Parts: sequence; structure tokens; C-alpha cells
Amino acid sequence: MKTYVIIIALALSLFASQSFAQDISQSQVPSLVVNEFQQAHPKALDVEWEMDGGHYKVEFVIGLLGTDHEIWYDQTGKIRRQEEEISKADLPKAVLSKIKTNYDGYRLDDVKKISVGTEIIYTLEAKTLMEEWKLAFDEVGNELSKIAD
Amino acid sequence: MKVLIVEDEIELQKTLADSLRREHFVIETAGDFESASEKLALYDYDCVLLDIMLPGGSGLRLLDELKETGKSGNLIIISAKDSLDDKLKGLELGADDYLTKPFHIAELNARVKAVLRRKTLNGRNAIEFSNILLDLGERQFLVDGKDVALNRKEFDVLNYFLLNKNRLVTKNALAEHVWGDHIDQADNFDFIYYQIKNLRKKLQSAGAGIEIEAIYGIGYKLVEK
Amino acid sequence: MKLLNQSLKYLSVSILLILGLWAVVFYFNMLREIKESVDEGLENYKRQIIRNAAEDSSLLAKRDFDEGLFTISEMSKREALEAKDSYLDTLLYMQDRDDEVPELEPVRMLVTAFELDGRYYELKMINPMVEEDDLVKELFLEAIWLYLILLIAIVFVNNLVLQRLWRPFYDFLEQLKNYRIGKSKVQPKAETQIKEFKDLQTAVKTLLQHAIESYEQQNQFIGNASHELQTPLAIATNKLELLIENGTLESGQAESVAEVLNIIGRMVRLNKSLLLLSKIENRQFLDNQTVSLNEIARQAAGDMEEIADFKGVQIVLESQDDILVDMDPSLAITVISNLLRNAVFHNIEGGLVKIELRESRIKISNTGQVESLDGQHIFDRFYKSDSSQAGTGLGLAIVKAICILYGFEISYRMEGGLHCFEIDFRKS
Repeated sequence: MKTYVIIIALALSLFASQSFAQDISQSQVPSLVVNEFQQAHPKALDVEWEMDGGHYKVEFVIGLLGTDHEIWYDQTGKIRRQEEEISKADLPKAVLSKIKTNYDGYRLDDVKKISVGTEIIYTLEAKTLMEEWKLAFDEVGNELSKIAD
Repeated sequence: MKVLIVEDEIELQKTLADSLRREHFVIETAGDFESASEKLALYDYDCVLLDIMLPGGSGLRLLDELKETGKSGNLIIISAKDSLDDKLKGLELGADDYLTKPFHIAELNARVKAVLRRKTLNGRNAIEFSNILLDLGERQFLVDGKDVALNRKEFDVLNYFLLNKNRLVTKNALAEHVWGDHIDQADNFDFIYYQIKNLRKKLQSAGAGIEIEAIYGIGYKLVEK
Repeated sequence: MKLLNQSLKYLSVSILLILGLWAVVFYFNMLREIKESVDEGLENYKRQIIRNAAEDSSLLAKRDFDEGLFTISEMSKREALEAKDSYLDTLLYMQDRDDEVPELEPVRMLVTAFELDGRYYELKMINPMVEEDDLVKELFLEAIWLYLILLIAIVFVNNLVLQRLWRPFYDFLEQLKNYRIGKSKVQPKAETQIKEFKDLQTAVKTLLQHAIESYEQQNQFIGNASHELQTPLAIATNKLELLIENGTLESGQAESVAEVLNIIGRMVRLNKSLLLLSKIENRQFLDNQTVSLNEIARQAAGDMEEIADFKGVQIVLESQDDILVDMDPSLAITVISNLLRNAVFHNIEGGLVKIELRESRIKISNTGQVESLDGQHIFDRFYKSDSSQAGTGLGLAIVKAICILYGFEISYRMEGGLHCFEIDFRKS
């Protein structure tokens, strides 16, 4: 349960963190990070680097439709965190069924898959005309947080 | 002989009248178009001196009227306007001569007399005076019936003097009349003097009854001895 | 300097400056563009090498740039952590196809670091660069060519434009050059839609109108003034003549009156000359007919004969050719008799006046003072070479005015010690 708390804290902190990030050019990023990234994602487009705390954050899109990706590297080129925009259909079945039960009739938006180390969580926004929730689930469909937006 | 002077400039009118009276003409004057027109309609004149620019109308119109009434002739235009057009028109309308202002009195006398003589001429165009005769047609000069040879200019000089007998002929008037505008240099009065001297010699040796007197160095006068 | 050349001068200088500046900017932009393109190539190459190295560990021992243009060497972790991708311009000994021995060639080098299986490597890649002095040379030549082509194009376009656009202007200018107030009947005019040219025409027209008006006024004034003087002069002359004739004056008084009469006589002649001049200039002589100048010269010589004899001057008339001219007879007489009178009166005792008629020219030459007259001013009004002379000073001015009226050419020169006036009666 303790790790969950950390993950949630981390995940939630990210909603607010972007404004503190500082744009940097690729030449300011260590070679190890750049090469690691380039080897892993040779087809990345619209690559933008940011300095985010002690980490190097890279934003890019993949494919023609452009699904957004964000990866945080440490100085040695190890991935610390990864976020990717996914479609609703790509959510695990467990999560989908949970949503179907608890949030039937809600419109889902901004679905993201967040990996930190080996843990994976999914965040999304569920909206009706009246209310709007930010939700977080783990792979097996446990609702980790629910915040009114 | 009756002469009408039509001239609006009173001083000039008086002077012309004064001069012509010395030739024993009867002079009448008119100062504007109306009075001139009236006088010309009422009386006959032997000679008319007509200024073209008149108060009340152009002198050329008077000429027109005269021509219509058959009274044209013996008319001399006197004008300040030395315009060929006017001259031609005037002569066409029956004027006998055209005299441009300013002119010498001797020149006026000569022109008037020439016009009058043409009118009274009986086939013979000659001037007789004392014992001499100047035949203008044959250009002969006779003293007591004997031919005296004169050159062309001497003949003209004598003619001019005879038209102005007993009157002053200034050197200027003489030069202009005989030599035209060719001597307008003052120092050439010597030349006139020289010409007159020659003419005098010829008159004297031919026994002519006339002589040319010098007047104050300004001109000459032809008189009977 | 012509407008064409002036605009060409400014254009060529400013284009040279612009082109020079452009060449510098272009050079640096091109260099940057080349480097960016080379850098991009190097980066792609880098990805490929790192991927290949993961599969083929033999690459990790490549120490020199032969074949493949890259080197890999192991490095410490500490160094690797600090490494950032850097692009360098440097020189390397290389052998190009056209070089016999290896030469220092400019290269672009990318230095990077990567990690493979927990070990760190430094990767250097090179790409041959253009030689900058070659680039400069090439660019310079191209710029010069461009400049020349532009210049030729500008000259061509300029000529075309000037000929087309400026034609009304040059037309107008030409007409204006030939325009003479009082002589030319038609005012300068050019067909144009261009506002500036129209304005110019309006301005010139206004100016000419003023000039013509004042010219005519001046002419008319002289004419009118002379006219108005005729009657008073007539009265004065006639009154004085009658006064003398009366014979009532003492001889001293009479002589004074005679002097006044002479002075009035001079005024009359002056006035007549002015009237004649103004009539000539106002073109009041229109009775043009075919006139034989030989006949007129003969008459004029005859008229002057006695005066010439009196002055001891011999007049010789040489009529070699018949000259017939279409002009007013009285003006023809005036021209010749004025010149002849001039020649007789400004002569010396025992002197000579020669009148020669040859082809279309009349030449009247005479003996006289030894020095030449002032050819510049001799035809000016009231010019007198000798202030003591009693002439009006208008005789030659009248001759000149008549020549101008009919387009005859008159000249004065000294020839063999004779003062020589010549008129060419061919109408120019």
C-alpha cells in the first residue's frame, strides 16, 4: 500500500509539474540520454527536451496521428518514468469493466498509461455534464484515486 | 484755291493753315469727323488734307463717302501711322498722296502743289517762273528758252525749290526729299551745301532770273532776282 | 550627365552594395544550412552506428577514420556522464579523389558517448565539409556574374523605359530648344498622360504666355510710343520752320532755332527707325514678292553715288550672280541701303566700297578704321563704335532684325583690311 501512495503522489504531482519544467535543447542533454532515447524510439517526432527537476524529460509523438509520449530519464540514461497517451480501447479489461460498473454514462477523456519502474497505472478523466472526475487505476482495476476536477 | 485741313490736333491744324495761307490759299479747317463730313458735303475744295485718325470716325470712311459722291481726288492723307495697309487703302479709295507725320512744311507745300498742278494741268506739266521753265515731263530746264544741262539730282533740287518758291526749304527737308533717307547724318549738310553751290553756278552762268538764298545756315530760299 | 547615365550610376552603385551585402549574408546562411544538413546526416549516422555496435562488437574497437569515417573508444563512466553531443569544425588529413597525397581537409565532427552493456564508449564521426575559401571564391564569381547580368538588364530596361516613358519629355525639350519668342508660331506641346510631364507643360506654357505677353507689350509699347511722338514732333518742326521763315528773328536767335530744328530732326529719324524696328519685329511687312537684289543694289549704289563722290569714296558693284529673294521690297531696299550707307559714311578719304553679289550672298566691304569692330555688339540697338557720330545707332540693328525676320544669315568680319558685312539670303 505504501508504494501506491508514492505512485499516486507522484502521478498527481505531475498534473501540476509541467509549468516548472524548463525547455532545453538536445545539445544540452547528456549524450548517454540522447543516445538511449534515440535507440529506443528511432521514429520519434516533434522531440522536445525539458529539464524537470534532476531529470531529463523528453516529449515526442509517434505515428501519423501522433500519440503523445513523455519519458523522464536520469543522467545515465535510465528511464525513471514514462507516460503515453492511449485510446480508451487499449485500457486493460479489468479497468474497463470497473469503469463500466462505476462510471456508466460518463464520457472518458485524456486516457494515459503511466509507468514508473515496473508499476503501471492508468489515469483518465470521466465527465458528465454535471461532474468531472480525475481517476487513477492499477492494472487489475483498483481505483487508486478519485479527484473532483 | 481752297484747301480744307482735316486735323484733330489743333496746334498742327493752325500751323498747317498758317503755312498754306502764305501760298495764298483759302484755308478751312475741321477738327473731327462730323464737321469734316459736313464741310465736304457742302463745299467743293481744290485740295483736302485728311488725317486718318479722327475723333468720331476714321478718315478712311470720309474717303469712302467722297468716292460715293464723286468728289474724290485732290486729297492728301496725313497720318502718324506709317502703315502700308492704310496707305494702299487710302490710295485705292482715291487719295492722291500719303504723307507721314512728321513732315517738313516744304514737303507739304510740294505735295499740295503737285496735286493742284495735276488738277489744273492743261496737257503740259511744267513750271514757269521768271525767265525759266522746268519741264517735268521731258525733264528739261530752260533759261530764256535755252536748254541748261542739269543732272538728275540737280533737277530734283530745283523742282523742289520751285514748288516752294519764296519759302524756306531746310537742308533736312531738301535732303529727305531728294536723297531720301540716305543722308541722315548731320555732318552731311556739307554735301548739301556742295550740291547747292554747283546748282547756283549753273543758274548764274545760264543767266537765270532766280537765285537760291541761304537762310541762317539752316536752309535756302528760291527767289526772283 | 544624361538622366540615363545618372540613374544608371545610382542603380549600379546601390545594386553593388545590395549585392555585396546579400552575398555576405547568403554565404553565412548557406554555410549554416550546409552544417545543419551535415549535422543531421551525422546524427542519423550516429544512431545507425550505435545500433550496429550493439550487434557487432567488433565495431567497438574501430580506432581510425578509414572506412566508415568514425572511431569508437571506451571511456570512463565519469567522462561519459559529462559528455554531451558536440559538433566541431576541424581539419583532418584526408585523401580526396582529386588529391595525390593526403591533405588537411575541413570536416564536421560529431562527438558523442553511449553505453553498451554497462560500458561506456566515445563515438566520433566525421563528414567532409566544403572548403570555405572555395565556397567564397565560387560565391564571389557568381555574385559578379549576377551583378553584370543585372547591369545589362538595367541598361536595357532603362533605355527602353527612357525611350518610351520619357519620349514626351524629350520631344517637348526639343521643341522648347527650337522655340523662339516672337518667331515660333506654335507653342511646344507633347502628347502625354503622365502627370509630371503635363505639369511641366502647363508650367512652361504659363511661363511662355507671360514672356510672349511682355514681349508683345514691349514691342507694342515701342510702336505706340513712337506713333504718339509723331504728331508733337510734326507740330514742333513745322512751328519752328514757320518761325524762321517769318524772318523776324535776329540771326543769333535764328541759328539757335536752327539747332533745335536739327535736334528735332534727329529725334524724328530716331523715332522713324524705332517704328521701323518695331514694325519688323511685329511682322507688319507682309508684301512679299520676288525681288531682284541686283537691281536694288544697283539703285542703292546710284543713290549713294553723289554722296560717295563728295566724300571721295569709290563704290564698286560686282554682280556675278543674279539673286532673287522672296521678301518685302521696301525691306530689301532698307537692308542694302543701310549697309551701303554704313560703308560709305564710316569710310576714309579716297576709300573704297565694294558690293559683291555671288551665289546667294551679298558682301559689302569697305575701307575704314584699321581696327576690327566689335562683332558681338555691332548689330545691337544704339551701339556706336564712335560716340561722336550723329547716326541713330539703329541702322545695323534694323538690318539684323530684317535678317532675323526672313531667316537670313548676317555676319561681320575683317577681311584683307576691309570691314566686311555679308548676308546669305538662303533661308535657313
